[in-house]
Amino acid sequence: MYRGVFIYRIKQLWQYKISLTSSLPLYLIRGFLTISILLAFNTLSLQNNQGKELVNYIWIQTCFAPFVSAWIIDSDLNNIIKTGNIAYEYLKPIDLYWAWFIRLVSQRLLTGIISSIPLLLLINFLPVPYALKLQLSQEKLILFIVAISLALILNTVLSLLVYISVFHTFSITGSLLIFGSIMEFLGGLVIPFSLFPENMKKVLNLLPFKYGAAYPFQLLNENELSMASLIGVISQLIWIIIIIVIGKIWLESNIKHIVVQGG
Amino acid sequence: MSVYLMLVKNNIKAQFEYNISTYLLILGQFIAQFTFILGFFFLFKSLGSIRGYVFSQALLVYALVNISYTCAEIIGKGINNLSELIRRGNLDIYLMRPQPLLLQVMGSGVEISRIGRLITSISLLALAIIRSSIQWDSFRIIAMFIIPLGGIILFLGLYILFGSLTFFTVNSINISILLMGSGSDCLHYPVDVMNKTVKTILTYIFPFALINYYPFLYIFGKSTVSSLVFVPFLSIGFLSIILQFWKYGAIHYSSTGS
Repeated sequence: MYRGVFIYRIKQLWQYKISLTSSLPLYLIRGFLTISILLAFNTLSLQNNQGKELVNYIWIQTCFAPFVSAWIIDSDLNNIIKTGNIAYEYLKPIDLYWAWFIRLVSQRLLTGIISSIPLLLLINFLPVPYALKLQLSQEKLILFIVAISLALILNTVLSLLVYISVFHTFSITGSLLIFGSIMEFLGGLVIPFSLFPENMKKVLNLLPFKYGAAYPFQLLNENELSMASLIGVISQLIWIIIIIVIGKIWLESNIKHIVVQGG
Repeated sequence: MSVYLMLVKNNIKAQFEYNISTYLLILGQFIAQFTFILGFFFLFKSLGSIRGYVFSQALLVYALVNISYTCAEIIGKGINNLSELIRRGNLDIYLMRPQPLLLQVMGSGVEISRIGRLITSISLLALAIIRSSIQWDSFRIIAMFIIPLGGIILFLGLYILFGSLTFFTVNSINISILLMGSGSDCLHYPVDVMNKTVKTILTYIFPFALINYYPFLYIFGKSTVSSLVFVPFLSIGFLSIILQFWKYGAIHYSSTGS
């Protein structure tokens, strides 16, 4: 049943494949501009590690933007809630929460695979200060793939909270703007995580947002894996479970008081 | 013009019909802007100055550019609806009315929620002026008004340019990825921060250097030529070229809807 939702959604999005691929150059330009600004700061030179790490961080962030960004909107889902079609959704013999989860995950996954991840092939060959330079080992790669997949799930369940809040606000853009900008800032997408002051980093380590964004990016920059990097995966899992529980309870209570808008 | 104002008035009225949603949007714009500027602050705090611009100077550039961007978005966001209008065939209705097409399209989507962002940018401007050590004279004060004006014209030009492309591509081109790119928003920095290629593009093709570079040379005392503050007016030339392109596009428009 859930596989059906997944395949249906992928097929639906596939219709827009040209529009999706056309974002590739835009992502490339964006990453390039961000890096050129960062490199213009006086104290930052490529001689030290900080510069290289920031360049890598920005590229990985750009390539996985659809996985981590808060701004991936499923406007159909928004319409379902707003126009009252939620009544039909509710009739279907599937769990609403998981059906929506699959919808959102498949959207992020496909958008990422088509419109930004292919850049990874290209950015290795850019001129020196702009190129992505990683020292990869097999363990690191495996851990990164696990971490980025968990981050994808974490971000999806977080954004599901935003959709559930539409029951109260009737506007996905409003909810998303407030929640999304806080999430992106605290997750280290507005500025690279390593540039936050030390005290703030300690607080942010306790919040879920970092594990959805900055944590997998930083993994690739680390010289060797330590216990700390493994603990990150565990924190990701714990946060995913907590947020799923919150989301399910909230959705249930909303469904009970549902007032169908529109005819 | 009065027709345009009427369209705008009705549009704003319509948006306030959804009370919660509109206030939420205003609040959201405020928060979005706020986190952005906080990031800007941390960037300067941990990395020092950027090519000779200290934080307060960069903040002044940022605030003025952002005011122009926000105002242009309030006025011109409707142009983004163009692809929707074309696809549904609603543009044909607009074409039949005896009013300029561009004004009608612009009036169709005035984004009042951007007020939230405008408030932040204006307070940022005040903050930047207080923190900076600029020797104020009449030219520099005039510049505070000329720069946003030139900036609004430039950003509107950009909106209209991408809008005119919609006549040919039907599907709208997602420039928001570029314009709203997180933290990267390069137009908010003076152009001499960029590397050469970007600088050339921003000077000769999309002439943003007119507002975020040349006038500031005089304001920050890097040059003594006071006429530099009038440079933003050159953006009118950019807009008039784009308007020609819009007209060309509008003439060659063929309907798609039913």
